[in-house]
Amino acid sequence: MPELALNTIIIIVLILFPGLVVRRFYFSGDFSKQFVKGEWSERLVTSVFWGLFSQLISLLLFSYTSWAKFNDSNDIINNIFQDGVPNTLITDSNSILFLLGYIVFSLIFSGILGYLAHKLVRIFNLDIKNKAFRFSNNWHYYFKGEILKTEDYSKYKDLKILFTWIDIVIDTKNGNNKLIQGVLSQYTINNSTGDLEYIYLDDAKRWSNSEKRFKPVDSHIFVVPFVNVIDFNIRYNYTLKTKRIRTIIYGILFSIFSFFVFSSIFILPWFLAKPEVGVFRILISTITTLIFTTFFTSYFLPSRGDDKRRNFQKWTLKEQIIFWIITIFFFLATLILLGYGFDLLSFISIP
Amino acid sequence: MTKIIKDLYISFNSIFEHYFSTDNSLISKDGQQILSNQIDKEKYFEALNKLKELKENSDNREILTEDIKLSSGKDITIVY
Repeated sequence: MPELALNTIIIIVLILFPGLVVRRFYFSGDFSKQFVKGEWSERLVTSVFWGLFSQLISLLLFSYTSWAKFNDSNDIINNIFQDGVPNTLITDSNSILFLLGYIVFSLIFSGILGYLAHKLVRIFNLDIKNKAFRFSNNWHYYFKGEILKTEDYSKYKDLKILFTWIDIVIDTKNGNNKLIQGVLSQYTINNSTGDLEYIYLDDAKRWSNSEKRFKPVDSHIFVVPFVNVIDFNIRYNYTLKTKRIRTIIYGILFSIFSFFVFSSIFILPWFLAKPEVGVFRILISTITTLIFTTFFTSYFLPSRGDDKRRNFQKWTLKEQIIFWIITIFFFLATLILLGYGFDLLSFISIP
Repeated sequence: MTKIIKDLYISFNSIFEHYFSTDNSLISKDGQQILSNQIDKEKYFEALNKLKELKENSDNREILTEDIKLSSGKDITIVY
């Protein structure tokens, strides 16, 4: 019985949870409510599918890392698949260490997988072009004007939405309906049904029957409960889309470059780490890698504001020296953490 | 030292904003610039009303455009 319980827990942790992480990162932003929408059985099946998918790739990648090879991970995996969870799992520190490392690795990978899948669908407009990829929050496509990119509205394809203007007729329950208009700034939808709950307006104006004109409402955000709305009209304010081939090519190259940089930061340390290096050192090394990579990139970027010069162009020699000392410090720290320097930080690792 | 940390922090933030922003704001960056600046806002709605009147007073059903320059120096083409 305890063996069965342990096997169930291992299956949930190894298959179901990574699937949930994939879905959590895939349904992000305006589509985050889709994560909890629908039948639980359907969500369970899709989570298991994505969990398995992510686990198989994680397993493949992880088995090639020097750390996994050194810790006989393939033997432990073989044992789990052939004989179930070994009795020694909770007493053998090497097995615990392996499981811990593997779980962290697979969760990071699942998060990256879900996030990249979401970005791919959004960047290439797959959800707009093909209904199979369409997210269930239909309001997003109407309110953001993305519906104009579909074939049905092809005459607007060269236009870019600046903001969305809304005219709303509100039922006041006393026979005198109110007409309100303003710039749509936000909205909320119901978790389970996807129906609109509230609409938030900037620059709200109210129709005055006596003055026969719209009068500004003294508010920062005008909140309209959708249950009181009789009907509403959407008006897009747009500008011309600037299509520059150079900008498109730059965007694609930048996305590819970013993909490799981010993958390298989170996945490469597992491959580069020396076999004897512990899990925590590898995890900390991803943070130091992230810091020195971002520092290095920041060196060539302008900071926001009126001064458009890049950072390295406006710093004095003294400031440049300080910058390089900090950056090199994090670079060396990464090397030491991955086992390539003197074992100065060995007290962090688990023996 | 403080200057470097401040500059790095700003650049650091812009990198993370670039990668992790969901880009789901209902108002575009240009739209936010127009609506947040009173002068740009007036200029924008003045031009828009002008286009609206032009269209109402003629039988022309084609899309009308008008260029305005925002206070940031950026040119925007208004379409009606």
